[in-house]
Amino acid sequence: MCEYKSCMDSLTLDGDFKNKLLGAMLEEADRGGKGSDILANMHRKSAGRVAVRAALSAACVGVLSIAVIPVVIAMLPAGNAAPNDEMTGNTGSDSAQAAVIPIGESAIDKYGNSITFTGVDYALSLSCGENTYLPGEENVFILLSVQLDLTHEWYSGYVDITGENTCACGYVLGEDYIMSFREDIFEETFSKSHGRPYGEGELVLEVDGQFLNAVRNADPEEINGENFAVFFECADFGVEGDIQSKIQTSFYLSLAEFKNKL
Amino acid sequence: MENEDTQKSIMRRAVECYADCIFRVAYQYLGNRQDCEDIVQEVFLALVKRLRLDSFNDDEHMKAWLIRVAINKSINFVKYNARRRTSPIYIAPQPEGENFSALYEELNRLPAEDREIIYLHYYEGYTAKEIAHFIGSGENAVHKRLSRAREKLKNYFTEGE
Repeated sequence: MCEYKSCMDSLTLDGDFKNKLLGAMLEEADRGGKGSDILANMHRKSAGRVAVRAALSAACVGVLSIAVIPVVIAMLPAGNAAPNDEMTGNTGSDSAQAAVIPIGESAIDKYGNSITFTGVDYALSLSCGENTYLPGEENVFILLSVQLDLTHEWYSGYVDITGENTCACGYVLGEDYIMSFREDIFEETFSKSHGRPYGEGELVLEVDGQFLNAVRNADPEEINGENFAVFFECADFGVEGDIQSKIQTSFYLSLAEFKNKL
Repeated sequence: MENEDTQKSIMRRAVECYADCIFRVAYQYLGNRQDCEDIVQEVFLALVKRLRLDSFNDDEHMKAWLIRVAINKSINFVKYNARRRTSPIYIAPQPEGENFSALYEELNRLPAEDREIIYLHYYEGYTAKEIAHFIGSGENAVHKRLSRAREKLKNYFTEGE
């Protein structure tokens, strides 16, 4: 047998450890059973939730610096739970089944993994950890503070959020302004290794100066929750390949507050 | 009751058949026995919870799941313990009567993920495509790493692998 295999063969657990491990597992199995009835299925939870636009209208009344931010999450049904199964593609038809989750509340899948959008802010520069990020000329950051708790319950998940599978735009008086997702900041604040997330991080959207000018030039009387918004949508959010999720966040920023920040 | 007995039987078989494998998977990242035993325990307790929710297609399916979870937990362990201590130096095992010092030196030079890829391919027999799913990488990237590893460690593998 080759030297490498001999070397690996010697890496074993002793019988005493295995016996104790099995004992702990059997004890856990006897203790459990109550977990399954509290696991939430996103489709059932989403029944009766208000639509995105209705939530936006409610949110724009008396807005301060951070509005109520509805988070729309559509979870596709899990297929076979094989980590090496091919992930199925996400389809637009799931938006009809999407749930609206207010900011601060968690969207929980049936395995106990959760996603929580904890805040939104906008700025002309951004500090994350030891780094300070500056936008391009006249560009504006819109920052979503995100808590992705994917090591919940029993295993770590991964998040594949890149510029390829996200879509974000600003919407002002009928005009769309495409936003860029800052992958470098996302990777820095979540994980540098294959996008595996744990804990909190920042989702940052960058939009160019035309959006800013549109906001500055718009008549405040004309701006409302129906014609001013920032939308962020992310597809192919996966957890161990079992769950395909589409995360759609939309929120309303009052024009006055936006101008104050700038 | 019957389902409970089946689950317990699966757990016994899982420990018997895969505990050593999971230990080795963790070892490629952590390099010390105590931490790896902690990871093994976490992974198999996670298995208990997993079995409550759903069954596996077969033993290979369960093994793949265990490996994937072990890799994730090992990576998180390294990341979140890095602040408290320096990254562990990979300490390859030293069976009695054998001297693997040259091999250890080569393995020590490799990133943890490369060690994991080498282990999953040359010891466990997984393909590059399967390994790509385990570590969340692309298949081409895995092929490249295997090719580099094969070149560096060719003296330690049998011909024709």
